[in-house]
Amino acid sequence: MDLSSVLGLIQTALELGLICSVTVLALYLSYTMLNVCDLSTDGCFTLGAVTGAVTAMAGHPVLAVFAAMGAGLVSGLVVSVLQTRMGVNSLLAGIIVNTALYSINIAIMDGASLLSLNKTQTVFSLMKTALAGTPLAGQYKLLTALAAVVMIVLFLTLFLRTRMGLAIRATGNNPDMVRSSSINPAMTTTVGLCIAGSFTALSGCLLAQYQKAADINIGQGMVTIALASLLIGSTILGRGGILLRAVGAVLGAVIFRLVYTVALRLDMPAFMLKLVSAVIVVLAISIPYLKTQLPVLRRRMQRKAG
Amino acid sequence: MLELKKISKTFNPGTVNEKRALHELSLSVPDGDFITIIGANGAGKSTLFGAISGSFLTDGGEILLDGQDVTLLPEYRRSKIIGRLFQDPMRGSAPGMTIEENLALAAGRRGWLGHISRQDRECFRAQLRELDMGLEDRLRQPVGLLSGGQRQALTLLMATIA
Ligand SMILES: Nc1ncnc2c1ncn2[C@@H]1O[C@H](COP(=O)(O)OP(=O)(O)OP(=O)(O)O)[C@@H](O)[C@H]1O
Ligand SMILES: [Mg+2]
Repeated sequence: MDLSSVLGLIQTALELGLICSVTVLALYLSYTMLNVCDLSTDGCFTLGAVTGAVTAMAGHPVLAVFAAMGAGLVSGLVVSVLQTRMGVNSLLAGIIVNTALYSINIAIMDGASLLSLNKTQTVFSLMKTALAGTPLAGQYKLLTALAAVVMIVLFLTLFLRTRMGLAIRATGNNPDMVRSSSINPAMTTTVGLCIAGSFTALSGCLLAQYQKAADINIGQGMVTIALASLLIGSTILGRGGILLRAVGAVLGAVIFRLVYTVALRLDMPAFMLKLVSAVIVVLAISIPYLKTQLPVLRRRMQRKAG
Repeated sequence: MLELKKISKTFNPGTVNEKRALHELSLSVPDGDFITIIGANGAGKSTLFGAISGSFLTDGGEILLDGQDVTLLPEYRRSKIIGRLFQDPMRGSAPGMTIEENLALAAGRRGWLGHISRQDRECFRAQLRELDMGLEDRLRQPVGLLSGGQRQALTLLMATIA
């Protein structure tokens, strides 16, 4: 394999990593900050992809981005209403919405299970046109993805420092304290999940436009992949401030993609992706726990030996 | 003026764990009074405070604060007019957030999109100095690093800062 194809692979991994990192940032908000594991992520990702694809096919690639985010927001709203106003367990609320979204997504695709965007303008092709003739022209995909990620990271770092942001973080940390600060944790959970939903859908929309296709399974396993990326990121940059940890989430997504690309080159079949991400999640969650158990084990061994 | 009119609370009614913690308790507290409530462990002191601050709905009776009936007001709305310290020092503050973030949330001076300003920080520092625990130099440390007593002192400040 020559250098240019290696660079090409890295480039693709970087682009896909950045696009998926928007979902990781959604989880950074819902999982890390709000302490809610939103299992509607897969369906919401697909929702963004198909809503965006349909809107782009109607000739509005930029509007597609906002349509997708709007749809994701509504999906997040439904999840949060189920869990904060109707007493549905938060994991179950995600699973229920995820199931419902499957039908809704097919309905949006008007019964099809695959939409092709080959002949459609996308935000990427718009960027290509805009950059034509400049030295950056070859990097239009990377720049589009990067622009989205930078905007989301900036938004999150500013937002999480506002009073609303503090309230969302406190809700994940100690809801009793939120209540005694005259803030309704149901409200903060709702705001957090709506924003996270819109990010997840944005991520799906970008992926569909990037690969010029949206299918009903585009989001399958996203929650595990994103969680794996988030946990990789937090082992690298988990101790810093809000900005640093958000950057860590993005890095985690890119690293995940790079590792996956390498694994593919080493002849790992593509269908192994989900298994790999599942193993990463298990390792990332269990290693810190097992580490705390290690001293006890060591002492026990010593006692037996001594 | 705080008035409790015949409030009752029975936990787990109709089960073997049934426990009548408050029974038709009436109490009126005029403005400016300083009151100490003494009772054996399990007498119902925390339950009384829970009822006043809205942690649960009482089985009967009315709770009036300055003439306003707050019996049915949810806890997060009541906390606008009632400052409160939990018996458990871990419950009153968010351990993963810094001292200044906890104080800012409790103070609630700015709108939803407001950030902590230098002015806020100065004010927090001045108030923390009065506790005389050296917390004024630790504004950016997570609350989880504080001792139980330090956390309770911080919660007291949070309850009165608004
Ligand atoms: N959530 C609950 N569910 C069931 N029983 C409860 C609950 N909370 C309190 N109780 C019972 O109500 C009674 C009063 O409890 P409470 O916590 O008010 O006591 P206390 O006066 O604050 O005691 P202490 O001095 O130990 O703090 C106790 O018998 C307790 O077991
Ligand atoms: Mg008590």
